[in-house]
Amino acid sequence: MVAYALRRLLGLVPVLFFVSFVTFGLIRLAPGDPVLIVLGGKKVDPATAAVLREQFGLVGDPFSQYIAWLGRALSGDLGESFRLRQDVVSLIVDRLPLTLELIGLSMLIAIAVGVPLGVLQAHRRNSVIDYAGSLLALIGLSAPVYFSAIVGVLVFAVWLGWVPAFGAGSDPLDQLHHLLLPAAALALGTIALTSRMTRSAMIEALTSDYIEAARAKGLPERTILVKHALRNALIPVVTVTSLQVGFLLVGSVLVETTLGLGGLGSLITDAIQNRDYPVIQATVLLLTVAFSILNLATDLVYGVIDPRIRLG
Amino acid sequence: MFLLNDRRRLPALLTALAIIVVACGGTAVSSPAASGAPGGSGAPSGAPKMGGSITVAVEGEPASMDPAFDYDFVSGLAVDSVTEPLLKFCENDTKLCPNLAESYQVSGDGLTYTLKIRHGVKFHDGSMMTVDDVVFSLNRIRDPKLASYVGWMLANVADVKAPDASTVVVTLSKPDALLEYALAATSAHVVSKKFVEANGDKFGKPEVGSIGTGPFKFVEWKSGDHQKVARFDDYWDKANGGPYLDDITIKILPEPTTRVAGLQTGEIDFIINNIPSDQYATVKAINNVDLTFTNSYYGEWITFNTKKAPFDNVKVRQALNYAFDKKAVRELFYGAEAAPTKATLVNPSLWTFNQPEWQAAWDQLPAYDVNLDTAKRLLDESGVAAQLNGTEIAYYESTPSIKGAAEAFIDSMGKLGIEVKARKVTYQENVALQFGEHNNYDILVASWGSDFPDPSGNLRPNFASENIVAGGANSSAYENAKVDELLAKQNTLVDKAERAKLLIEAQKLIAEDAPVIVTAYPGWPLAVNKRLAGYSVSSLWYWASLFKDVYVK
Repeated sequence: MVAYALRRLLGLVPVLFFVSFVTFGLIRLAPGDPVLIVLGGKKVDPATAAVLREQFGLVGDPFSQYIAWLGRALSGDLGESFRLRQDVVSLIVDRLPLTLELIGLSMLIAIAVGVPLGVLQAHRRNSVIDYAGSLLALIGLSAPVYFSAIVGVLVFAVWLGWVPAFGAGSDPLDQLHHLLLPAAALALGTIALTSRMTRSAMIEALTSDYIEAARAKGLPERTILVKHALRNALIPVVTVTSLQVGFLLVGSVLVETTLGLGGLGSLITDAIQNRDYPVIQATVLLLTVAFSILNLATDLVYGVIDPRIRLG
Repeated sequence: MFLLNDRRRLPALLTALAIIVVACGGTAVSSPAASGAPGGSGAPSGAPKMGGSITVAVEGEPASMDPAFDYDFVSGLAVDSVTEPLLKFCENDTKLCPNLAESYQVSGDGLTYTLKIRHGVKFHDGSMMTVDDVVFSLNRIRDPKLASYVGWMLANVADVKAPDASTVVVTLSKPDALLEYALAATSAHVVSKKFVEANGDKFGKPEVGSIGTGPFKFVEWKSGDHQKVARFDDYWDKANGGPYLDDITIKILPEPTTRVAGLQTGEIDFIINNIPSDQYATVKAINNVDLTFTNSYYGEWITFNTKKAPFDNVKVRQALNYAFDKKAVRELFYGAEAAPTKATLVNPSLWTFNQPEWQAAWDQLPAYDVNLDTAKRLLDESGVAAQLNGTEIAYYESTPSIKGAAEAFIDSMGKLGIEVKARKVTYQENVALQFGEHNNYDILVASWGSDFPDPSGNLRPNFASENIVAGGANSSAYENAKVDELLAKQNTLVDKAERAKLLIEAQKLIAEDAPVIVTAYPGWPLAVNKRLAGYSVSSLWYWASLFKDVYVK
């Protein structure tokens, strides 16, 4: 399994080269001169613009610009943000933890609500709980995350005053209080998907022969549900849920901008809007790595849940 | 990536929702018009109190704490509290008052500015400000290698010297009517030579910040989240009021609806400028918040690319001016009392000198009030009306009045049987068009506000042909030799009456050539929690130390 993981990680190297090359080209094809955008809609002295262009490494043909960028990147220097005038690596290091906390909390909420809900729905098929769960899933899947975030702010912050309207808080407890709303808004879609997956996988498991056998043995319903049916139903749930981390990452871009969280997501939004090439380049590479490792981790978890799956 | 673009459509949708959900039974919007004089002053009630913390919301991450890179509407809130300029704008921005310089004199030929520097001013690290710091600061902004965003303001400066311990002499290579204003902007903020040299590249960045002589000192800047400044107790000008507040947090909140929600929950105390017009009704409905408007030097307009057919034809441009109902659009977005426009970007609040002459000129200016018959006649006379079909108007959707003006323009063209297409871009792409090569659009919705309290600050950047280049603001690519001559000449004069005469003449020629449709002179919106007092906001708030005299009631 270790050899398998190493091989997969090695395969990441050419992918990263390819992605960096394509990103480099694509962002330069997008309309809008970054120098003019950095200067933010005000008068620019042509001499100043020229110096900035030089500082930003935007002189010469794009291919030699790429080679120059690659040379620096390989030595660990990902450059400086055009707009924020800060080192890209330290920007990412500053901002990544908040996004990870947000996604982690979101995932926790999604699993803690989604899996039990799905089990309950499968257990009480066609009951009020089942229909209510399906309705919730429908809403969760169709409401865009920025929309649920804003509705959440209006209801829970403005009306009820339970949570702050924005921001990330300072100490851990305060931070949990602040992140509850954004994480819940972000989790809605994943709750929906997780509960639907759990429900259908559980229904399938519950109608299989070994469950009949377990029932015939007189095992308590709880044991049948959790120990036998759920464990077997988990594989598709794990696949779908872990792939959801990717969607949570994308969703965090929206929820962070909407709720004023200074994480990686708002950094990406800002960078793309402002044609901040070095930041876009670095964050896209980071996301590539994140997605690849996520997929690998999912494959490895299969082996843990179902020992019949051998990786090698 | 399309998701990100989709976000542009978000504000309208959310606002509709916010108004439905929150402002049920709220008051109707009254005017955001630029009507009152110096706006939004928190009437003092009793003696100011020391202490208290406030939170201010801004829409984006500040560029830097370094004044050299403060040339936008968000960086200045912290920068102008920490570092200070030599002079400051006062009396509703019509005059310059002493600040770190006690006085200044201009030589008869307009080439030498002699500044007396104030003694006894302390930097936040306890060291005294000296003339060396002043000379260092001005030369730093002028240094091409720094690429300061405000370096152009000192472009005509040839030399800066300190002949003695209380005098700084600024020598120009040629007279520059705008130089005195540059002494009150971030281009003349005094930084500590010792601190800047010690920190090198890190100066102004989150890990180091900045020190200055201002009423508040830099505390922290958490990238993407907030900046924080705290009261400086050794402030030199304490005798004239504040600082009173313990500290100020400047919170980055890109989403307008969230900023407004922050006002509702009381988590946000103060928002200047960053309130879209479609949120005015919601903000007005909040009990503990005052929404006021300050005159601005700002204008919004539709600009024709005069280098492209058929917009190179003056009759076409005049016809389109007559076809567009400016009043309807203005009132829709800025209320019934919104200041009426004429065919100039110099709105009445920019008449900072020789006001009677400007008033007389204003009365003569065409307003191009909507008249479809005149529009049709002019189009027929032009003979090129057919070429208008299929032209594109570029605009962004995040500012309601910009989007509204573009949609109304397409509509009014439709009434003439002309099909103009919408070219939707992001705000940043629009910036790149307005300040780019000026050759890659037909029509554009543009906006601009003078950096200085001077009519030339709106006329020269937008209409002198030297600014058709990349980085220049002449978005209509307007070229008129006579206008060029007048605008260049007035800039070399110190006599204001003479300057007014030349500027007024240029204004008239531009109005007749109609390179733009002026749609609005929006005021600056300011929302403040009622627990605050002592604030005053002027047209040039972006160069001002806004929080010095603010206190919690």
